[in-house]
Amino acid sequence: MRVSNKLMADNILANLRRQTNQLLETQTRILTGKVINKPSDDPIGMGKVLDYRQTLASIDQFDINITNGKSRIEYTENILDSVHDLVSDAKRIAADNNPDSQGALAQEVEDIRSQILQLANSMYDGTYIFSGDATDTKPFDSSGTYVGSPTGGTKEFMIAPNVEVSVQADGSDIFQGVEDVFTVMDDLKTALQAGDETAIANQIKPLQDVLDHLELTRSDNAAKYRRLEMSEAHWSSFKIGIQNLLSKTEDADMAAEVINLQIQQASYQTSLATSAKIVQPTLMQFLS
Amino acid sequence: MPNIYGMLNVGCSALLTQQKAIDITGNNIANVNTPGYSRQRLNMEQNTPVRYDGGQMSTGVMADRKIERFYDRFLNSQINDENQNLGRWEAQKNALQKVELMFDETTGFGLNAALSDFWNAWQDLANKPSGHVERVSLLAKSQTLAETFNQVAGDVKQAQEDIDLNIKGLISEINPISQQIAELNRKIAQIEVDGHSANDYRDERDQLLKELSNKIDVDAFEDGDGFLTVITAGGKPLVDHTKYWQLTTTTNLVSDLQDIQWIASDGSQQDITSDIDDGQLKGLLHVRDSIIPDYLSRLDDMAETIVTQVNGIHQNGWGLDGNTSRDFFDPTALTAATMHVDTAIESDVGFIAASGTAAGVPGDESNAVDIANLQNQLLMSGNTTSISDFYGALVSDVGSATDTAETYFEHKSANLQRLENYREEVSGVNLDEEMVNLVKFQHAYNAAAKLVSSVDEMLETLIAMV
Repeated sequence: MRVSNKLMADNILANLRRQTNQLLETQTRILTGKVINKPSDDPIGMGKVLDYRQTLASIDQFDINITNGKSRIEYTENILDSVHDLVSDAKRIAADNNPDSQGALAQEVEDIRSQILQLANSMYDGTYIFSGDATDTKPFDSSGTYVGSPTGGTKEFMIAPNVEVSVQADGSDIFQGVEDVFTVMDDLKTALQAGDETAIANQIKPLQDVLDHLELTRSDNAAKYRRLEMSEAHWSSFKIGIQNLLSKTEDADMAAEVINLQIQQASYQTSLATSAKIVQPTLMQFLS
Repeated sequence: MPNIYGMLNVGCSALLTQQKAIDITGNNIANVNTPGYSRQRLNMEQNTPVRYDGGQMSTGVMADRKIERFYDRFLNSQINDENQNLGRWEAQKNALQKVELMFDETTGFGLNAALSDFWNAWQDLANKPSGHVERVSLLAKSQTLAETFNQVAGDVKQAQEDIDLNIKGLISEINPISQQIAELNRKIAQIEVDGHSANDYRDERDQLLKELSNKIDVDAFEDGDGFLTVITAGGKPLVDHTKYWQLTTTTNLVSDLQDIQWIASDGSQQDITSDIDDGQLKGLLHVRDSIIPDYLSRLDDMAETIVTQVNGIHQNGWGLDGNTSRDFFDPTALTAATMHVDTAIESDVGFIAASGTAAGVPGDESNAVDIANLQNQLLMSGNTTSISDFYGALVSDVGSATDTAETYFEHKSANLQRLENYREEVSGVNLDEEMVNLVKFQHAYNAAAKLVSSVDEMLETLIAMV
């Protein structure tokens, strides 16, 4: 083969260019820590990366929703627990009243009623939690009449795509579902004031009904809380899985890249050294 | 009988011929790095001998009129073919690398993130339908989504316009080349008609043809008289003998982009845009007319689906003011470039319809939940893909189009490099070789000079005898 000087120079240039390109790419991967630095680096991988990122963003949002739902249920549970205690107190008064202190007991029932009313009108995060969808309206007025959303309503929490957990927010169902807790309290108070033993004893049954109904709501909430916790656990393990996949797809293997860089550097330096030796001599140096 | 003056003539012819050979060697050395230069060689032959009574006598050396040019015509046409293809993929690669930048999702600040934020903001609203903060944040995320769509579509459109400008520039580079080839045709024919060789002009013409073939698809052949005929897309001639034809561009009234026109001898124009199938022009036209419109229409599909689907559900809901049947996005702006949040919603975030019933205001979140659930519904490609997957596929396609163009470009440039190497093997200058020739011719020259001086001495001896 005839070798022309231009051919030699062109070949050296082409090879040096290829090697510097490789060096640049390896360097970019090391600097960014990623193997995918533009969609064309790995088109399929890029599509997957976008999918993983979107999934991670959704998981984060579901986590927020679940945390929100959990703290609302915890808050509701606190309130219902207090109400339960208060109603139990009233029931004890009805079952075991001392005829001598009926006046004072009537006053105590009055206090219990106003405490329950206050609890039923509780707010969470700036909204009333027992007025159904009418979250800006106090659910019960001072007479104990329900003035919240007439159609009731539940609070929904999105915990997965197309999956919602709904929490009862209708105060008329919780506090007045079987027996109206405020009416029962009023009746008990009136009976105590009148000293009507029969009327007092008659309130025990409806009070028990109120307690049973509260228990029902609370166990329902507890089941939902459990569901939220399970979703949370599911998402947190799923998230780790997705993060792993994302990292495997787009993160550079540093050790491999650094070794690559070393190898490429060595071959680049060898090329430079040999090129310098090849380019210099011509016959001219040996002719006098 | 030998003649003493005849010997002087032999010396003289040798001096002149060797000098010419040294001259050509010098020219080869001078052009060692000239692109497209083919090395030359002086062919020598004996002068016609003279007959005399005692026999036949040689009369020295003679240089051929035609200086030989080392050249492989077949290889050159292969190089031109490969160069057309290289031009095509190089142009396509460069154009796509710019488009790829518009879909830069690697950093995580693109349309993908804007979409996730948008859907998540609806879930935030579902968590607290009456919350002002949630509503304002949803509005901001929606505006960002619309603006990101606007920007991506605008950038891609801008890339298309840049390519259009490049096409115009290419046409203005092609025209002078056709003209120069026609001019060289004339010069070469003029010189070669009386047996000389127009090597330098031929090198120049080959080089121009190579440049031309990188830009547009050409077919070229040389006739017996040395005229090069160049034919381009659709069989339209660019150069024939000493005549040349020009190309021009006209603005297409529909697309507002440039069409490529061939100007016939009578001045009429013929559209050859769709006939061009190689060279840089093909690469640019393909990106401009096929790839970018495809990307834009897919972005438009996404924008339209988001606008109509979100509006469809939003209209069924009630805002905080108790009104229903409102649009969330402007229903008249259905393209990626124009999409934006409805001005009524922008003026009052209370109009965002989170509640699914009139009675549910303000605490019901069912409508917001329904909109948030659109994220995972299969709304694209005939209800087979979700919006995010559809976008992921688009980015993936952008990446693989660029990747393909890069691979082809690498492959084609390696091919061309190999062919150029073969060409260099035949036509390239090797300095060592030239140095050997130089030494060879110089010694011949010195010896011829010595001959002349010997004859001179002989003559002096002769004259001294008288």
